[in-house]
Amino acid sequence: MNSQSLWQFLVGLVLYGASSPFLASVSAQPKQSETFSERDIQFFEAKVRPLLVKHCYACHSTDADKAEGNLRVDSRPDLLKGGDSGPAVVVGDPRRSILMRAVLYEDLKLAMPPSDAGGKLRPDEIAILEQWIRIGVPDPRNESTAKTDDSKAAALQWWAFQPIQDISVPKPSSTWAKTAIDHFVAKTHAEKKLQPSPQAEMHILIRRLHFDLTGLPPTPTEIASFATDAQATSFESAYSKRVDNLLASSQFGVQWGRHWLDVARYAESTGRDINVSTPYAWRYRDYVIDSFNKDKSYSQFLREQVAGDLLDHRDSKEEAEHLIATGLLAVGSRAINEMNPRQFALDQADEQIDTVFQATMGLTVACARCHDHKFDPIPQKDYTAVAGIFLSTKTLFGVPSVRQTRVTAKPLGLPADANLAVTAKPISKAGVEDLLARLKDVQGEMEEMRQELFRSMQGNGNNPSMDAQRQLQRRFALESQKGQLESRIMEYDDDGNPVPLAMAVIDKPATSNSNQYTRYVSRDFRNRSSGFESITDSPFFSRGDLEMAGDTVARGVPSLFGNAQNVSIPSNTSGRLQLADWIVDPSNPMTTRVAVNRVWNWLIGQGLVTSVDNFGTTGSTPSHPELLDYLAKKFQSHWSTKKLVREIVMSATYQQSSAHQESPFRIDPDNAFLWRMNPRRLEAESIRDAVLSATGSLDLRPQLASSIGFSGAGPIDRPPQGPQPFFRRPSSNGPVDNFNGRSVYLGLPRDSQPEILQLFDMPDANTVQGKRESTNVPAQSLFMLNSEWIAKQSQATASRIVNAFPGTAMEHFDSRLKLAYQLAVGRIPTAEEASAAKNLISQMGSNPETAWSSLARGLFASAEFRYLD
Amino acid sequence: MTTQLCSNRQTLTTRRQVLQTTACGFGWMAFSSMATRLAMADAKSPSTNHFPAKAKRVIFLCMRGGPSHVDTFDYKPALAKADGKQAIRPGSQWMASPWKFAQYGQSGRWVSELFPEMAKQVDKLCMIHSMQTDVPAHPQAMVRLHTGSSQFVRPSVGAWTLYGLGTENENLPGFISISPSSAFGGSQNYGSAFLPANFQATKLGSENRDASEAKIPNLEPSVGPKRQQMELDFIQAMNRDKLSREQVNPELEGVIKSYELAYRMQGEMPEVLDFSKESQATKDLYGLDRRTTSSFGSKCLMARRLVESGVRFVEITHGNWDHHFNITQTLPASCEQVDHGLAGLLVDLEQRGMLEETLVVWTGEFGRTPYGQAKTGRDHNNKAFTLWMAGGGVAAGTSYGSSGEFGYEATENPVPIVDFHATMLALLGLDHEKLTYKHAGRDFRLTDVKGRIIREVIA
Repeated sequence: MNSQSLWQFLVGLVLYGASSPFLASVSAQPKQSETFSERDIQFFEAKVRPLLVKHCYACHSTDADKAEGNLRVDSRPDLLKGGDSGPAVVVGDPRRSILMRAVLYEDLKLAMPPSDAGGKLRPDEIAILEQWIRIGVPDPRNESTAKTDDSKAAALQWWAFQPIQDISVPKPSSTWAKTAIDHFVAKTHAEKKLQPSPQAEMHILIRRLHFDLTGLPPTPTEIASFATDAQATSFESAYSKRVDNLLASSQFGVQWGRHWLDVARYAESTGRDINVSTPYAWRYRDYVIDSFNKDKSYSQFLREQVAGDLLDHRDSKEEAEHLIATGLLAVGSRAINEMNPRQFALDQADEQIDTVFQATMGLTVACARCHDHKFDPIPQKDYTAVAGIFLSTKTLFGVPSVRQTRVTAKPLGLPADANLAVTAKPISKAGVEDLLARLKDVQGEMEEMRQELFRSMQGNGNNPSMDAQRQLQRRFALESQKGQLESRIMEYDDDGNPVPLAMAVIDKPATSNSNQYTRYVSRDFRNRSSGFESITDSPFFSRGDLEMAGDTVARGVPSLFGNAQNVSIPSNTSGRLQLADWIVDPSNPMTTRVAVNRVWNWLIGQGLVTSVDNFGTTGSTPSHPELLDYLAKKFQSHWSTKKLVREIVMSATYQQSSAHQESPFRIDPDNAFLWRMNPRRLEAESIRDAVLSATGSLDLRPQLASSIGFSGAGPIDRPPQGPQPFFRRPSSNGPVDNFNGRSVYLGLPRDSQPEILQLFDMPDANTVQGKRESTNVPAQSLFMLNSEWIAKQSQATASRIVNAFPGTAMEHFDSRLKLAYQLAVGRIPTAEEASAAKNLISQMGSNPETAWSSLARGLFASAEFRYLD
Repeated sequence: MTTQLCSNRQTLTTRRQVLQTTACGFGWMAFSSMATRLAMADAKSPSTNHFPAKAKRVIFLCMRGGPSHVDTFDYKPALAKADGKQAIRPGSQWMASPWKFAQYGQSGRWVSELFPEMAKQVDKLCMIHSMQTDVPAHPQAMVRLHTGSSQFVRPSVGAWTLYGLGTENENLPGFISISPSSAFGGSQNYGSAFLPANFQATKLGSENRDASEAKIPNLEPSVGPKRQQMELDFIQAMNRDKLSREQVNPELEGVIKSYELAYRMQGEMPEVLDFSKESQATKDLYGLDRRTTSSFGSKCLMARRLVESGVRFVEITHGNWDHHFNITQTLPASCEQVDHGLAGLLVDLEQRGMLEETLVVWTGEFGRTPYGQAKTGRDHNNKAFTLWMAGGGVAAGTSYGSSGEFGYEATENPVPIVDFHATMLALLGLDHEKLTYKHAGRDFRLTDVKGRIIREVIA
């Protein structure tokens, strides 16, 4: 059997009725059965389906205007049922199958496909159909078309697709409840016989509030002023005032902008195989931070990110803002070494579709690229309609040619009069000319080398003048130089004034003369046409295979909520504006539910719907459906994130203690019904910022660009064999390399994130991630115990403590310890802790800073430092 | 107390009591074995074999760049005769292997003179000459080899293995990648994607760096042992105080555990990576005495020591096998660097009785063309390449499949990467169709919807 393919073996099984226990799991079932082995299905998918799609579907499928002869071949039952001429196939008997007589052209009345549709099939194609019928017509397309509609209707019953209900707040029934949110929560408490937790202690609550709203710990001064205020007025009044102050602080945008950057899978390089930095991504980051600080309407925020380039604007500043917003569609990861331009275009559109739908509506649409969504009511036809929108969109991701790049794109030049900050320093006109001359030299040498290589490959007997390997290295070096020069030149106008650039998208032209798709020919060709160079509808790609393009599907939005047909896309635009408006339309129930649920998750540590990025039928159902709709409806009336945040943090629900309680724990161990606050791990950025805050060196100002913004475009790591690294991996965790700014401003290449961020679960930025992981791995402990960075920060904190109260190691012990605890964990130490600390300090020798740095490290390393109670 | 402690809620009280009774000094070390069990339970690993298997662990040797199969392990006499003649690709000429082949061992397998040491081990090998991958480009092929998919981000084969079998030594990570490349897919090649993060590899060093740079970051204490001990006592006392106040807090217990494991790794890992107790004979076996062979040899010895200590999956990446030009100089250099270490590893594993339970895999991401490139080298070939396995229940001394007359394309029993993955999991006792993980609403597999176990290569 070794030499015989499993295929033939299986055929043998069918023909001779042989059976073998060894093959039981993959053996072919009796012919009439509708369950087939994976091998058979593979055969169908690889050989038969493409044939049917290519040659038959146009006239004999659900998508055809009219099923010719009442025959449909797009499901097995339809085939067996047949059309006007009777059953199309007889299982296991090719000779009695009409389909075979048709494709063999035996009966000219039946001959298929007709000559005007490609004519008779090739012999090998006919053989495939013959074999397929002989082995029992394996075909997974078991659901007849009517059934597909049924399953779509069933899926549409899923809670998340239903309109948002107008819910009135339940009657107050408990003294614990303070706000509308609490009345909903208390109602469930009563139903589930749960006792809510009392308000958390003041120092815990203030620490929680500060981290949640700004990502920073309260400073000792802020703790003291709160206590004073609470004493002078009331706790409620002091708390409310503190909430307003924090919402107004520019650090709010840093924290909440970073949340959205997780959703937007933001990073500063292309990732994937050839990881090249994207030096203009930071503008999108700043746009997001600013938007949260301005409390921009969430609906407008989404519209700008999906279709900013198509929106009206008051002035060039607003125009620039709108253009930068579309960076959402450009900052994703991409395979810039893809050889096939059509594949690249389709993959890019797919990534954008996946991001937009998951980020805004919690819908995983990408499955429908290759087949009707198995779980959600999104047929592949809907996917194709949306794909046309993104294929009509030009993505300016701003990556020049560097080594192994096969796809490049320019960045977008922003209006010069918008007064935008730039990283480049002005140069002279001559400076620009010099850059251009250098580029010309490099291009000249590359062309020479190309011709040289071409001559030597022709095999005319001449050996290349340069050693082949050195030649290759030289070529790589030149390619990199070319990329760097191109990216520098783009940063200036002709006079040497810096031009502000951004990653963005714009509509493609309405027409183009280069719509001819050319398949991969040679690796020297860059940016060949994908066939999608102008505004266009997308063809239906059978099984997502780009070589199996069918009829086009008009651009449109998914037919989810019955309002899809009202959306019409003008022929001269991509349709992103119509898509954006459909996403934020009040009749779309998902967008606001997803939004308020994410905010809830970021504040409470667990969404009302736990699958925060998946509201489809494979996601979870809400723990408090009425509360979710109440919040969603209210959010729709103001679209203000700050109001929503305020409403949640003012609730007794948010202010609960996180302490464990035995009896509710037994009823609801997962705390789905909120009988306490969830204890949470700080996010990576907050851990770093809190350490720097304790040392007193954290710089709270917004930072211009990032280390990547200043480096320009180039490979993230040194490619083996290649030229010197263009951009060195930022080991920058902080002052080790003199960067004291907030973590959001660190350079963030994919796959090479700063160590501390990577260790503490920063997302890899390849997909939408509205909820972060929270791992406990030894590498984190090793970092806290042994890293140079923590050692330096411990030293710096020790200096701060000792300088505040100068003296020998053991002098001012109580004052120093109190300060250390306040800086690290926002409270004063207990008597036991004080004695443990005394024990530690007293054994550390006479140098006060050494002794206290051990204590500082101990505090940074403690679980309490990185957890919020 | 150390039995039957799994993560169900009933036992939380017990755990809390343990923590309270081990309140001071290094007392917390005492319940390390319990913590291990918890760690394993937390990992959500199925940890059950689907069918009996010999292989318990894997050493995966990735020759990045694409070694030329027709110059090493896939003998093509017809190619020698066709040298210089028009080849299958227009404008190209067949290029005979510049190296002599001979038959070795009882199995009589052909090996080229570039692998004199490995030639002696040929009876241990099961060679697959008909490997195929879909794209002849390094990044896609590397990611395909490691994750089964080059289009989507998927867990690596090492992560799946660890997920399937769990860890054997609580003091060490279960999956270690020695000197992986940061390019060509980078961390994807040893990542866990949507599997829990504890299944991703701990990376030691990076490609083309000397073995001396292959270590775990922050493993070296930043302060003296006494001071660190006092600092740790303080940290754990603070953590335990918090835990005793809160009574139940799994995350907090996780932090306490992770300090224990970190401390144990800090203690055990340097010893595992320290060769000073290895005999001179062993060191010579791996070629540590010679400059050209010592770096890769050290990595092989490191791999043996790691699997010996209970690490489930160790990968070594060696580059660069991308020999487009000057193959007569570059390929012998690459082969010389690895030949000694590879052979030494097989001999050493056998001597220690470990080979039976250790699956050793040697492969590139693809092979090279039997026709020449610029007359001095060979181009990428995804249509055929050779992979060999040893130990771990493979059919030693056999070969499977054929790359045809010239080695251009698998003509007999082609083996796509998914089939190799299915087979490798089968050797480890894991059914590739049952080893699933639920993510984003569906069950994912290493082999997705494909994969066929190649029974012929299993002993």
